[in-house]
Amino acid sequence: MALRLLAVVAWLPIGVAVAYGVWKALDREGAGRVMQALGTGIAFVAIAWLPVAAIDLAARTRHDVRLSDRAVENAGALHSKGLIHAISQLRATIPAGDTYQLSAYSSRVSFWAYTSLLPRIAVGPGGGADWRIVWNRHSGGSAPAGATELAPGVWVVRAAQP
Amino acid sequence: MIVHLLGLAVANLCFLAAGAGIGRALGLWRSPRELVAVLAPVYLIGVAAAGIAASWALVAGLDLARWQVVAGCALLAAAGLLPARAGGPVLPPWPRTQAPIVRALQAAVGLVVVLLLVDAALRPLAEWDAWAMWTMKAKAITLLGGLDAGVFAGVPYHHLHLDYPLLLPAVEAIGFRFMGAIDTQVIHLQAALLTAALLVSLPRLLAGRVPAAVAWGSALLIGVAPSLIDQAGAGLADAPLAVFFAMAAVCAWRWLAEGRRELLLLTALFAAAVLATKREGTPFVAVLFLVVIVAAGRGRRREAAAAGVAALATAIPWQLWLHANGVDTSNGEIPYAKVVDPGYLAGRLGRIPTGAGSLVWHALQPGAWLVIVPAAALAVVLAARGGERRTAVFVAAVACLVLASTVWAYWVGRPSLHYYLQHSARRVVTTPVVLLGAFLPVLCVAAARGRPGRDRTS
Repeated sequence: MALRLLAVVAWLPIGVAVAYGVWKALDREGAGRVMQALGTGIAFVAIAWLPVAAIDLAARTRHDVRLSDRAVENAGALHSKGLIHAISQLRATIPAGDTYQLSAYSSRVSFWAYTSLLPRIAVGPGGGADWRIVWNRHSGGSAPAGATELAPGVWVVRAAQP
Repeated sequence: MIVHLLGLAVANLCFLAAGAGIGRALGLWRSPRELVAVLAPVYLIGVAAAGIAASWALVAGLDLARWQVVAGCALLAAAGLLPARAGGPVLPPWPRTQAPIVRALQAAVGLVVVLLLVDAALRPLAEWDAWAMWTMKAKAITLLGGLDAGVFAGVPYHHLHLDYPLLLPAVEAIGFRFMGAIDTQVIHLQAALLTAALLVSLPRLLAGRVPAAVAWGSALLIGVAPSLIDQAGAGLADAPLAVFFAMAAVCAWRWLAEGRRELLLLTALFAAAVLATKREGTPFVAVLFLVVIVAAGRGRRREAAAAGVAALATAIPWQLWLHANGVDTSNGEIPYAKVVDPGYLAGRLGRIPTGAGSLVWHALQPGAWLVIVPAAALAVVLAARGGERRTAVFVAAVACLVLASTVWAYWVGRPSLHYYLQHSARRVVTTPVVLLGAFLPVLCVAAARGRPGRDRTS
């Protein structure tokens, strides 16, 4: 915040100079006072805010460049404890191309599973899934018969073949 | 990462080639020097055309393999081999020398563009809608070889807005194909490139109608707006929607002012891209063409209506696919059966002032959009009081009706108003605000005109 304020104040003379340049350029073009005032105001605000925009973008870039490959890959799941580990286990268990039926305790878990488990495809109840996943909030909980707990609360079982 | 960047660059060169062909057929450029001056708008034309074509290709069962993309873009680029249209260049020639102040503003826009692109190339896929919906669909297209009904019409994926159109996922899937990998970081560049291209395109599209200093100053004001900076590289569709809509509206305004049919064709193309980007684009396009048809006057109404119908027709293949695969196009959010039910609507009247007030508040936030809306409002009032009412009414009508269509969605939509305001209000104002920003130079010129017939434009 202090850096932004300092940048805006230090940059002000540049903003004023550019605004004056726009004012003179519009004057030379015979644009009229209304256009001069509006055009100069727009240019001044835009130039005055430029250092803030640059600092914000540079700060975010600096933050993002330091992220580990794992953090980048799982950015959408970082705030859900255990999600990344469980998905890794499920990927290792369910072959690509198989289908699964998922019962999860939250939509974030379901959505993250749908995107992360591709090209495995989720199907609804009665869709003849190859695998059944039950994802409970806490360790243990209800589980399908014969299921294995891959991660705390995450149960998976291969569906019986007809 | 370098390989992925190069792959994405090749994909975008294909889009650029497609746009260059269409741009030449429409008289935007004749010589290589003129092409350099219109690279940014030509690029946007290419993404719009290739994106729509890619959506159709997916519906037709193709998987957007590299050879298909190259062949499709080559076909679009071949439009440039058609004989150039008579009637001279559509845009005035780019001046060989610019005033130092204009060069300074161009440099500032260039700096913002570079920072935006670097930021986007390193950004992780962290936005909920981006990883859960937009990029997820692009991944599914790439990994499953096209539109797999198991995902795009699958019951478990029902909440992922399956009815939303495919332009952004298709364009991102093309990026993944050319990268040879699913790089969820580098792919953010794709949407950021559209925003960057808009910033450079606007002064070119308005050349000859507004002073260059005001055009570049306004482009810079849009470029440094914190909300746009946040959204440009976030992997969401709101910024691309705003980009295509602003291009469509500016081309429409220029067609109204000059009557060149090429500009109406561009309006239809960008409007079709709006329709192919997000479901909200449908009322936006309807509103734009409604205003254009009214403003066109008796002699040109039929042309404007035909362009609107042509744009709307481009959405038919996707709607047919949804219908054929049994996807619920209402997504449960908008109860279409009840939108004319007086009892239902009357019971929700309280949502209108709250929703409208919140949207206006978001649009006026200086911490999000700086002074774009107040400056545009002031210019509209000054223009309406002076002699240039047509421009003021055109811009105000389009912006207000776009906002009204969003308020309508909030009014009739099933989710709670609190949910809407918390999750979407910040983003849905992007299109009307960027539109006002795009028209700021035009509004300044209109505001400066004291009496009818007194031309002060450069």
